[in-house]
Amino acid sequence: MKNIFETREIAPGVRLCSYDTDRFTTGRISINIAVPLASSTCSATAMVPFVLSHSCEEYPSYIELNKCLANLYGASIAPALTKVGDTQVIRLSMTMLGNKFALDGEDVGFEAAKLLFSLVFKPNAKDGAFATNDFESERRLCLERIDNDKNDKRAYAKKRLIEEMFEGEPYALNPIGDHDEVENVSSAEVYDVYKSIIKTGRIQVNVAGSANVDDIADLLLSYIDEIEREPVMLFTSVLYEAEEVKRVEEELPVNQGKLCMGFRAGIMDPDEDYAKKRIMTDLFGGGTYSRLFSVVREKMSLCYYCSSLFMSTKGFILVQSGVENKNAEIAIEEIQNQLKYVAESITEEDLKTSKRSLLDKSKTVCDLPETIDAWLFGRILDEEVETPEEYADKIMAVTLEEVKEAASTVTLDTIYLLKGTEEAQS
Amino acid sequence: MNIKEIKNDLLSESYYEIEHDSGLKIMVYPKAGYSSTYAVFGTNYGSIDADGIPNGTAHFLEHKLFESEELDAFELFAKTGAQANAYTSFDRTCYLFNCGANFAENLKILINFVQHPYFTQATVEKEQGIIGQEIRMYQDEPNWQVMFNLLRIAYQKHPVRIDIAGTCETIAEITADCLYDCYHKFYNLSNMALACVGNTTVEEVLKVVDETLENTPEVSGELRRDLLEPYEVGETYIEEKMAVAMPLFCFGFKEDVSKDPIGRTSLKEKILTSILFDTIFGETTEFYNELLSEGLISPSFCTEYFEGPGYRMTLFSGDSREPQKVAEAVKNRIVEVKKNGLDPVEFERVRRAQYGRAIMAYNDVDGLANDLILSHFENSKLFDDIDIYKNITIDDATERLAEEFDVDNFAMSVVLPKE
Repeated sequence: MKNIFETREIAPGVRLCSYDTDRFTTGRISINIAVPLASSTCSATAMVPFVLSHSCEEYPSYIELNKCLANLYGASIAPALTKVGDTQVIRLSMTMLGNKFALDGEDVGFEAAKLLFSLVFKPNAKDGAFATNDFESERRLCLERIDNDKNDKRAYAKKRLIEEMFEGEPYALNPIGDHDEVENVSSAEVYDVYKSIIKTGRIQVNVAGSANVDDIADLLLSYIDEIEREPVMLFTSVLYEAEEVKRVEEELPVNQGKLCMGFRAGIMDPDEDYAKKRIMTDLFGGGTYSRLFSVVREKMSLCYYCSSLFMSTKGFILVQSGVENKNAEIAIEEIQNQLKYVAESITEEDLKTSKRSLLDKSKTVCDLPETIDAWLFGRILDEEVETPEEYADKIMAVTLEEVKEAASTVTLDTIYLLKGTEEAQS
Repeated sequence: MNIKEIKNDLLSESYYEIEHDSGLKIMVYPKAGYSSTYAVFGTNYGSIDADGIPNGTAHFLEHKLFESEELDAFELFAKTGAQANAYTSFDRTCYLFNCGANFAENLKILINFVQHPYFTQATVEKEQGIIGQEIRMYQDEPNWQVMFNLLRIAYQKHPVRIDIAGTCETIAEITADCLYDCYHKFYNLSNMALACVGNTTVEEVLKVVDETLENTPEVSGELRRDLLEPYEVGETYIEEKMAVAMPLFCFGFKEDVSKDPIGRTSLKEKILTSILFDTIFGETTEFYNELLSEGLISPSFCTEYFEGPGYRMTLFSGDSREPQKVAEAVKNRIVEVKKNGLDPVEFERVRRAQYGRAIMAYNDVDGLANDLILSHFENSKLFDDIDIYKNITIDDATERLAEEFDVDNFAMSVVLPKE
């Protein structure tokens, strides 16, 4: 089978999604494991993908692992952590050379899968804990990652908005962990959490490019068979509308302030509402034709960026902008005016524009192993893995009235403003 | 018009170089089985071409070309569904789009808007507000600041020491007339190139070009002035305090460009430098792993060969609680390797890994289109890298090592946490 998406159920809560094609010079394989986001395990979970990606039983040190990757024609491994709704997903992805370019006829794709699975399922651990030296080094790096997230002010403002908007909920947790907790967690505790993740997590392996998927599926099953699996159910709570608007302001010594606004998206039925809300958010602040770009940036010259993002898995819309303190109030007001405009005044022509753009983007998904992997990753919590074509059909079916209605049920929940204290200097 | 096929047997792919009668160089790389097409229309003009004009003019021009008297380029692309963008670097300005359909229509829009400038004093003033915000955004980005601070001290005269976007003060001096002057000087077709990669053909591209492209007056001679720069770094150390959690560093070794002050580094030289970086400082070396386990570096540690017309520097950057110690370790390592020679096992491993990565890069229509433009301005060819990796030897690398990493021509920039 070529050039189609396939999903195989390997075991309860374990599936392998693939897109087999020989048009790439690379292959891509990733393993993604979703577990409930919970304050008791969040920080320990945050260390897991990094610990796993730096050594394993077979390659017990980072240098040995790196030599193995270099010999595998410069294959690379990237660990990552994300929040998808109220779940925390650990992710290890590998990019490797396509089989047809191997100098000695090796099956590079299969070798990569072997390495990836041995990193995840056969870690460098002894007596119920991860190897000590490695672990202390990982702790240091994890702490630095947490502390350094302040360096990127745009990402920092987004994180702070989410903390404020979802205060008291698991979703407010930082998926990369909490400084104090990481400082105090033991190697044995992280190992216990790891064991629980591979036992209970929802596992999805994605394979894109030319690879012998049957062999990879067999290999995955052989590892899964060794685990007493008890997959958990994963839930995400979604609030339909905001109550009163919460406003939080902070100051930092920066030149440009950052504004973040969180809106409840008004989601009743996630499947039913997705396409309408997607288009609505796109017209609000997606492409260069959107209201936020064309009015707030281009016409009013208030900022360099102002955009909106539909956080579909948690049912909210995020608006981000970089503004000077003196323009913040005008921007806040104008952003809300533009939302109102989408609810009341957008035209059939606007709708066509958004559909064309979303359709165009969906057509390019299968042109890179990385974008195929990202597409599959985005569907990790879905029962059925939707293809880009099925997604495009849903987008095309949305009507103007539906988009207007979708915008009219969006309510402002939280405003987070990071104020610059150094504006006068420049 | 001359059409030349450049073929690669290993990849079983070809691209085509076309000398168009208008003077424009066109490159088309059809990719079988791809839905998307990526086009880049670029000029060999960047922020370093700032002789007698306000700093930031090339970047300002990039922003302004999207506007026209009637519908601006973004509005036109909205009618086709393509994603359009542009960027300005030290030595080039490029306009691009990526699309999954309507390629011919999109190419027409791209060529049209780049060839039809429209500036008025009012639209220039409006843009000063937007770009002012862009500049301030970069002033808050520590990774950006740590690098540009380094260039400011390492270079004494070369305009690479000036921010690409200029400053709020310099862009305030830009006028519509000044934009037109620069446009007419640098946006003539013999100074430009067009690259299209993906779901398209030579015939399709030429049809649009022939119908759309307007000839420009011939401009003769070298447009880029000599960028004479002394060998020595200007100053050796600079620091700035910003809102960061731990110190960031960027340091490096400046190289001699006196043989060819506006020339480019050859592809072979670039590949050798890249092999040297990984063989001496890479993740498979004891050096890297010791620094990592001592807590001196993190995976953010990276190396880069920073080079272009009249500038060449080997750079090291990352974050560390003790940046000075990292710099000392790197210098000691250089002295040691220059004395004892390269490790042949490590060299072979790195060559094999980089050979694999070079082939892997031929997936990406976006990267390939930009590489085609760059390789044209640099006088190299795509696909050459694969052969170079195949044939390169440790003797080549050793010879290159002697020319680089002069520990006495070192400069360092650090960003420290603000209390």
